[in-house]
Amino acid sequence: MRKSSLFGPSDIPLKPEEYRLLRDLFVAKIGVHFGIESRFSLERRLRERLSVLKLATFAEYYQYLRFHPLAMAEWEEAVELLTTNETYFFREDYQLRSFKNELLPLLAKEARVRKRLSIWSAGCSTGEEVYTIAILLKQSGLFVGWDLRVYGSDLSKRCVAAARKGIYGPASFRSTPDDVKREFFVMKPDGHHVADPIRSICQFGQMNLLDDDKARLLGRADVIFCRNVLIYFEAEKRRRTIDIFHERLYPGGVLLLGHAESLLNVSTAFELLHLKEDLVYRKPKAFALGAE
Amino acid sequence: MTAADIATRLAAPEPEARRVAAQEIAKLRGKDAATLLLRALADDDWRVRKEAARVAASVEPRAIVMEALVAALHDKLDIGLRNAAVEALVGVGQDVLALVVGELGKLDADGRKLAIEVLAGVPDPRGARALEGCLEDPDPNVRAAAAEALGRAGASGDEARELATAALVSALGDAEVGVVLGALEALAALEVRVPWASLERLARDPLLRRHALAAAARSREPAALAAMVAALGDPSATTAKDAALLLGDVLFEVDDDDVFARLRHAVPATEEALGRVRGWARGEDTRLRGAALAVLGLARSEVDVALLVDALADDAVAERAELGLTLFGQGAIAPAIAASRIALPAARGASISMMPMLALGHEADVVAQLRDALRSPLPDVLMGALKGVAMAGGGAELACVVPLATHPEARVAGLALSALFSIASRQPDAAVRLLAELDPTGPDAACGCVLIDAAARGGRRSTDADLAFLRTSLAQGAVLARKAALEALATLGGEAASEAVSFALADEEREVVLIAVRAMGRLKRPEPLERLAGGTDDPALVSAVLRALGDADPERFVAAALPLVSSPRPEIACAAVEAFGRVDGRAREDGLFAALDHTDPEVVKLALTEVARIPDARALARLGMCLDHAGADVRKLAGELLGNAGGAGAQALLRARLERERDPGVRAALTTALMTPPHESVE
Repeated sequence: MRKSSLFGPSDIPLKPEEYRLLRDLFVAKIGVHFGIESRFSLERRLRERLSVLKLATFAEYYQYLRFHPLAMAEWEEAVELLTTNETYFFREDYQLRSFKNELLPLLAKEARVRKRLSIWSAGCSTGEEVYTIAILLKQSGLFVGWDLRVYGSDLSKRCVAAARKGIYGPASFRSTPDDVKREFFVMKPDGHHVADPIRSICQFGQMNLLDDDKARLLGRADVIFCRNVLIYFEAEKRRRTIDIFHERLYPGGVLLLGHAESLLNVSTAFELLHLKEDLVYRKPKAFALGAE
Repeated sequence: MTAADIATRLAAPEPEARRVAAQEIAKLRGKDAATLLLRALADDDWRVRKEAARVAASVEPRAIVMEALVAALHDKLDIGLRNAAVEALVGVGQDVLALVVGELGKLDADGRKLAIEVLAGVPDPRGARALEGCLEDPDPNVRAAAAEALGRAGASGDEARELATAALVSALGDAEVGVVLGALEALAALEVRVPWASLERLARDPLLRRHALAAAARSREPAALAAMVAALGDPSATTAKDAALLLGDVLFEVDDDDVFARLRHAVPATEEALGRVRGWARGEDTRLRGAALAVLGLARSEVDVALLVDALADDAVAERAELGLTLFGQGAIAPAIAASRIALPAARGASISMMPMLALGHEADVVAQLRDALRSPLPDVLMGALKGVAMAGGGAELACVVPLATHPEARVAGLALSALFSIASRQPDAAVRLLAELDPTGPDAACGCVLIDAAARGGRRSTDADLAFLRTSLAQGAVLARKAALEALATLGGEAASEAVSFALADEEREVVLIAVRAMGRLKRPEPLERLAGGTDDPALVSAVLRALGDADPERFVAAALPLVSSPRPEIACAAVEAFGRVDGRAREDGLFAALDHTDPEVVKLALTEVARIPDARALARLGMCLDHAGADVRKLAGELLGNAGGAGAQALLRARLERERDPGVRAALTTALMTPPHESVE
């Protein structure tokens, strides 16, 4: 058994009771849930913060996050360490095909009166999904002259800053067709830059998905992408997030989740919409989309 | 502890034991208390005497204590006891006045001087009247002490101040120099402007000359100012230096062309005097150096311009050197340009920035120099040039400024944006032409946003292209560009601008969020601000949100801010208090008065400071109520603020509290507040 007093910061153990405290705090604040198996992963990820802050135990770190005057800044650091930011352009392409080939024509028809489309990528990480959506909108050719907005939000400040820059390395292009890469990106010495016509319809913000006040800043959305984010959420927080999505969608608006996610046992407020290659969730129409 | 115990301890060899015993005297009752108090006041150790003086006000029976203390003023041998008795009597306050005044006729000259000290320390019109009488005392030392003491008559109310002023002006005719000096100092303390006619004779007396000139500086009469200039050549170097310092202060404090003209007319006194001033302008004494630089500006001799330009690089005197150049005017331009070529970069930059001011009315004449300076590799010179261009630049200068907005030195970049804004406000058409060449996603995005903002504020109707430029900059620009875009969007207004600004409230950079908050206020969009106000524990954000909410919708501001005034987190409550301080009307009073009930004294003190800015009787009454606050810090501040408020009502509240107050620190603050010179009061 390890004895903390004999070890330096790099060997401070996360005791079971400290783990429970931190786990519950993270769920309450950012919704992210850690299972019993995550204790050592959490210990590994957060240990460097104890070293930086010169804290002797994880209990002290818990107190720091709750009560320290600089707690807000520390939450930013913790979020960076606790969240997974792995993503790339055109991820889960079968779903994107359905979006482009079936949903976009539907939306173009239903929102033709207001000629305005608003799409929210919730948990956008470093922005690849947002730009993918924007590229699909442009490629569809259905929205010339429309007011298009693709909003990306993420809890991580660094991810949002990276997304806003729109400069990417090879790892982001693992499933991007070459012609798309040529047409919508500009190669420069520091990486591939998203082309201006695509960037001009994308906006980014830092947002906690549990913060419905922040979600309201977006206005209403026609489509919400929230792929592979809710799997990290504890059940009650997942329900709350889905409620916020429901509230933010236009009637008839669509929610796209990751392939391993569903609203089973989470919400009955949505109806299932069967597409050729995917199942998506739709907020029931109170009236036609374009009529608002 | 019994009287006997205290007596035993007052005889202890350890001063600290005796000091602690002195503290205990206040808890006794009966005649013994007065006897023991006097014994403690006569202790060999000053700390024991000090402690005894401090507790004297609390010792009972008061009448016996006061008699004993007044009797101590007669003591001819024990100086320590007499001085401690004075301190104790002052601590007791108004109750001793009648006794002390009555004793004046029975005391010897030294005793009368001590009695005068007591009268000076207890603010009361009766004391001021007695002091006026002491100006007729046969002993010149007593008269001098009375004159000096009358300098504190301001604490006794307006009537006492007037009485003291008249008596002191009359005392200027006293045959004794010491009395006249005391009167001059007292008049200075009362901030009285003595007519030059009463001072002229005194200014001829070598002993009184310096003090008379100091009084003359306050009078600002032409003849008085001329006398000060003439004194620069005084045979006494000390008097001449004093005159320079006084002149420097007059030049710095007065913004009156007539005064400058009068002084300019009087300068130069003599070449010899100017030589002396030049020597001071090169000297080590910073205050004298600054004064001399200002005086040299007044003298307008081209040979001094290099000295003034060089001094611009020295933070200690830069402001005075700038004043000197301003006083010099247009004639300084050519020599300043010549001098700046070999000056330090900071001096060069500062002198360049002043060119438009020196060339007032002929700004175009200096634009070539400014453009030249905009090509300098030195940040100091660039900053000076940008400040100058902001004042004098035309449309043609816009393009020269744009590259500097991305200068690695943040101060240069910031000034470049300010300069763009200033020029574009004057030249909106040129701004629009330049805008067409700028890329909203590139490094010049912030410049574009600033140009749009300035042109719109200048009355130009915005276009869809402007909006698109701003939205793109907001979405993709660097932090500076996003901030500039938000400001411009707020200026443009409208639904599309509001929507873009709204999402910026979720920006990942706090400084952008704060600007977005302000922009929402300017756009009169209260809804998201209302939600933010209650949903954040960031005091700076709360402060910004409440301010913006106040701009957007005063009613919603009150609803959001009032609960925050009582927040258990003092920093949040303080943010709300500051926000209430910025609004007008009844809402301000409601918010600030509610904050006065906060449990944290810092919140109460901040609220008090804001309440003191409200010019009405209700606010004055609330300040008065805080004189009874449990916290000594709060009472002290309330006293100071009431002193600043002035007027009979405030003075009455202060005097009433002074009679009850036991805390020495608060007593001192109340006494000082009572002495604050009168000004426009709230009554």
